[in-house]
Amino acid sequence: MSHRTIIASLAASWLLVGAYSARGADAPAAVAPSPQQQAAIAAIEKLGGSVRPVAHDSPLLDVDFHLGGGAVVDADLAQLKPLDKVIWLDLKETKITSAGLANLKEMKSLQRLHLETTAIDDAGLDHLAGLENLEYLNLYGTNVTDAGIKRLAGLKKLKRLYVWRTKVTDAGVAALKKESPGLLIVGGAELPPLSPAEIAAAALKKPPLKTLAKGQFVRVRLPGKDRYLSLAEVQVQKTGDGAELHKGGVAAGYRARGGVQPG
Amino acid sequence: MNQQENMPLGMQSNRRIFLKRTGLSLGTMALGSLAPDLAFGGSPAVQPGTGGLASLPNLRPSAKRVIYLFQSGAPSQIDLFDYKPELKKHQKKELPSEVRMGQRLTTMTSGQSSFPVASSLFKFAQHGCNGTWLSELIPHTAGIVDEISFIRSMHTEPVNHDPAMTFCQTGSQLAGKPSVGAWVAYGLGSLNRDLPTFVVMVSRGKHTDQPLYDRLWGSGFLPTRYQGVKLRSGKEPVLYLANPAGCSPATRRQMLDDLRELNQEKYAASGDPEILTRIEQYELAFRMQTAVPDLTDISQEPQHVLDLYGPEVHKPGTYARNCLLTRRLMERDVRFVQLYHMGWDQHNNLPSQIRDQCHDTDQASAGLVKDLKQRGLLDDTLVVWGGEFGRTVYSQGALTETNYGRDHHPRCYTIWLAGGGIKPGVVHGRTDEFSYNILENPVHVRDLNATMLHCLGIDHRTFSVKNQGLDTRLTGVEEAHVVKAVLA
Repeated sequence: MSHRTIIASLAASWLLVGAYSARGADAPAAVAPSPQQQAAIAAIEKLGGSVRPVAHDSPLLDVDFHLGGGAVVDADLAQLKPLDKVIWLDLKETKITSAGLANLKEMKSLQRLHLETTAIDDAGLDHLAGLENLEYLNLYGTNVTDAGIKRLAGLKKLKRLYVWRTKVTDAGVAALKKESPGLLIVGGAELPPLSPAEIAAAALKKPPLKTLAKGQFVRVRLPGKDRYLSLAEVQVQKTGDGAELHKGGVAAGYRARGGVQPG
Repeated sequence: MNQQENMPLGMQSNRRIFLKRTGLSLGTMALGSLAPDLAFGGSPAVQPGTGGLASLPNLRPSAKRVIYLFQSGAPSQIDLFDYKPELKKHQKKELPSEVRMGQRLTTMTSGQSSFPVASSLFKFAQHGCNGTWLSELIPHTAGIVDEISFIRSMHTEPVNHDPAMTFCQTGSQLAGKPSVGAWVAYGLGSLNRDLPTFVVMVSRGKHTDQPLYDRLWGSGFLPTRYQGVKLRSGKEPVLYLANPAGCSPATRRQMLDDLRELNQEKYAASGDPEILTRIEQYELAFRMQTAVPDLTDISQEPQHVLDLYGPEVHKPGTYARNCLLTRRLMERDVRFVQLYHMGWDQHNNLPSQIRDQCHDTDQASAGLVKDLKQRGLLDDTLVVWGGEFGRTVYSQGALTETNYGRDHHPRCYTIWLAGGGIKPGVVHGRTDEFSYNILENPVHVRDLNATMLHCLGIDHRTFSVKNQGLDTRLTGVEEAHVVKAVLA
């Protein structure tokens, strides 16, 4: 969408809103983006972003820096300030850091925020604490930790939180779930790794819930890392009697946990 | 850009006469609004979206992108989704005439002297929070059952593949209407100008006997720039995209600039919208020279992500690889991706053939949904899995203990939906104990297309284009209803 078109369509949608709210009054004046807002939209477009109304007759805005805004840095986010009706903001794969998120503090309308695959960390999440309408927050591929996501417990409308490829652990997810029971926290798509206690418990039940059959194999995911360990790095025990199936030894310094996945 | 709205699509019906009257003035106007999009100096490396009608979306969208996993040939709902334990009692018995009610059959079985009921050879089990019954053929789909919604009461009108697929894709049994992806590209425009707005990939099962025509992803009466671009599976996903030896990118750019000037002159004189398509396609191809190799290079995909899609992901041209590429297209905000997997047309030897089909598709379909979810892409991506009709409960050809076949059955079939705007875990609609007639909540192909548009923020009733004197819609002139029961 060209810049000219955006101005035109925004003007059209705000015109409708203006007309509606001014019913009964003398000839309602067209409510167009203020010069400041027009300048902000132009600046965002120049940065490679786009500004669109979420629907034709809506004053609400979708601001997207994904794809075009690869060079966007913290200071650039100041351009968002004049736009008070942004409900969707996509900063995926931009060059922002936690400091830049201070510019989002007053964007109370935000419902969906994409911060995935950026360099942000826990410090940035402090700036989001007041975004009371936030429903979707994507932090996948960032440096956030358990301590950081804990600060999101105050966001009562938050429904979905994405933490794949972060430093968030199962314990951190469990802690936040306790405070925000309605929140769906999405990690990696692998089957959840079983703890040794769970494996032992499973072996006591009849029939065993998880057993190795011909053609199946064990995969062990290193917590917080995006790779499986090789058999040389882990100890594999037979479910039930605990007999060693593989003598590789446990990778030093890690608590490797096993999960059985059909092969 | 606004020129699509101003552009008289009706001119396609009688373009020469129309152009003689008004072409020049309209042409000049349209070119004016095209020009900013063709300015490259100083623009960012990756181009964000463009195009679409200013009047759309006219509803708040729940999805920005669509993936349509078309299972070409018509999968058997009885062997995959629509569990009918009572059929065992009717095994090999004649299908009761009050069930069939004299309904039309294809010529492949209408001459059969008997119509013996064939229950499914496959075991069913309950899965997910709501205990949905699914066949053992699709264990990976069973693993995502809480993410998806089933419609067990789909029905359609045609009884043969080509009109039925054309109907699904274009809302009409007769060829010549735009494909749903083309409608969406026209209405909503692109989110990424470096790749086509509507991308198509085709894979073949081991038992493919049905053709697939390129017109299924055609643009019909819309300008051809909206038609689907098919990515090939070989070394060159798009033929002739690379510069010939000795031609530098700078040389290519200069040549395209000069060519564009000539084309613009021609357009100003003739007003033919196909010239605009030509200009745009040259520019898109130039941008795709870097965007496509980046898209198809999967060397950076970690093993555990590849594993989601299954072992065939390593082989270009397979359904699994196409699913992986689809996820990569979604990350790049391509608006509409249409996959076709051929080979579901199991008139004979259904038990062995459907195993192969499920092996080809089950894990990758589920893997795609999981991969979209872990990246947070599933929230605003609509995924549709389904074919053009269902299959008969009676056996086509000999029915034995281990073998049967099934003919085409348009009166009921099952599809599933996931992602943006879809309420997960719903099973909508119910069929009779023979999976022959629908008992509750029928959903017509038109209803499905209306629902897809609804998720994208488009009211199907108002989304029309003037063609041959009619306001033509994807959903046609008959009533179509958004399937609210499957919406979040």
